[in-house]
Amino acid sequence: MEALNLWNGTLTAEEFKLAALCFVDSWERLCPELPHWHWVPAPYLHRTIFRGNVQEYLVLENMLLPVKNKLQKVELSAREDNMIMEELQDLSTINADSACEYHMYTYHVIYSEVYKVPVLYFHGHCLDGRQLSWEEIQHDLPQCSLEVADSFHWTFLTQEDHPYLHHPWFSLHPCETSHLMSLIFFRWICKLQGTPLPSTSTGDMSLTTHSTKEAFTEKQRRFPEADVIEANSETKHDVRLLQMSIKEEIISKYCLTWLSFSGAAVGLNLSSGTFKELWQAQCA
Amino acid sequence: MAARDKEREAFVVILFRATGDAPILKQSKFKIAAAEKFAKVIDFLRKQLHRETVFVYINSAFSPNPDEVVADLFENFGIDGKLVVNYACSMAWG
Repeated sequence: MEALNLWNGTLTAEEFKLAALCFVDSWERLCPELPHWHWVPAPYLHRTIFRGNVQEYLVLENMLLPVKNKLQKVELSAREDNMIMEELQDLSTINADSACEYHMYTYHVIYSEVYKVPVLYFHGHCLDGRQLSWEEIQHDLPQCSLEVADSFHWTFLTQEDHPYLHHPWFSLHPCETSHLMSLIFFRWICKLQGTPLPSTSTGDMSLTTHSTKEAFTEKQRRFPEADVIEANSETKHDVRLLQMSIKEEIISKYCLTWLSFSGAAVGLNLSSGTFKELWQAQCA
Repeated sequence: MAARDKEREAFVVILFRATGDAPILKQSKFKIAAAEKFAKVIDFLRKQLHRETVFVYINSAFSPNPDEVVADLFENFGIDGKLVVNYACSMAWG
C-alpha cells in the first residue's frame, strides 16, 4: 500500500477534474467581484475523445490587470510631446490611450497527460482588442518573474501551441510543478496521517527523492510502528480509509495551492486574505 | 506593556524551516518590520543561504506573492506570534 506522504504531487485526469470543479465552486462563492472560472469542454472542432472522455479545461476570461507605471509614462510623454499633444485633440486618440491603462488576460488551465499536472496557458490583449506582444506581456510580469525569465529562457515562460485551440499561447513550464506540490503538502499530509515528521532537512530529502518503494522501506525502518499497522488487517482498512480521505483533501486544495505560485508568476495574484478564505471554504 | 504591544505591531517574528534538500540556518528566527514586502524576506533568505533560487511557502498550503506585505501574511497565517516560512532550494521553473 502506498503511503500518502510519499505522494509525488501528480493527479490523474479525473482527479484534476474534481479539483477544478471544487476550485470553481469556492471561487464563485468567495470572489464574486472577480471574473469567474469556468470548466468547459474543448471546442467541438478540436475535440478528441481521450479514454472515452471529452477533454475539458479551466478558463478564466477577461481578468483586468493594471499596466505598470502607466501614469508615469503618460506624464513623461506629455512633457516631451507638448506640441503634438495640443494638436491631437481627436477624441478617439484619448480613448485609445486610456483604454491601455488595463490589459485584459485570459487564462486556461489544461491537464498535461505527460507531466500529470495542470499547466497554465494565457494570452492578453488591450481593451481595444489588440493582442499584446511578448514585450508588453513581459512589461506586465512581476519583477521576480522577469529575473526568472532572464535566467531560464526555455523552461519558464514560452510561447506554445494551445493543445485545444491550436494558436500560439504563452505557457508556464510544468516540469517542477509536481515536485513543488509534493513539497508543499508534505508536512500537512504527515500531520493528517499522524506520521512523525522527520526532524532534519536531510530526513525530508530521503522521503522525497527515493523511489516510492525504497522510501517506504526507509519509513518502516525509522518508524517501526508502521509494521504494527500493516500486520493488523482491520487497522489496515482504517488506514486505507484515512488515506482516501486525505487524498480527497489534497484534491480539494490542489488548484488553490497550485495557483498561489503559478498565478503569481504571471501577475495573477491571490492576496493572502483571499487565499485564506478560499482555503477555509475548501476545508468545510 | 503598551510599548511592547506597539513593538509587536511594528515587527513580525519569522521562523524559517528547511525542507527538501535545503540547508538549515544557524539562526532560524528573525524579526522584520511588518510594513516590509515579502520579497525582502525572500531576498534575505537567498543571501543567508547563498543560493540564487529559493522556493518559499507558508503553512503547507500557500506560496505567497513577493509583493504581499508581511503584516498581512502574519495576520492571516501567523501561529503563536510567529510567521513560519518553509523554504527549499528547489527551483519553481527550469
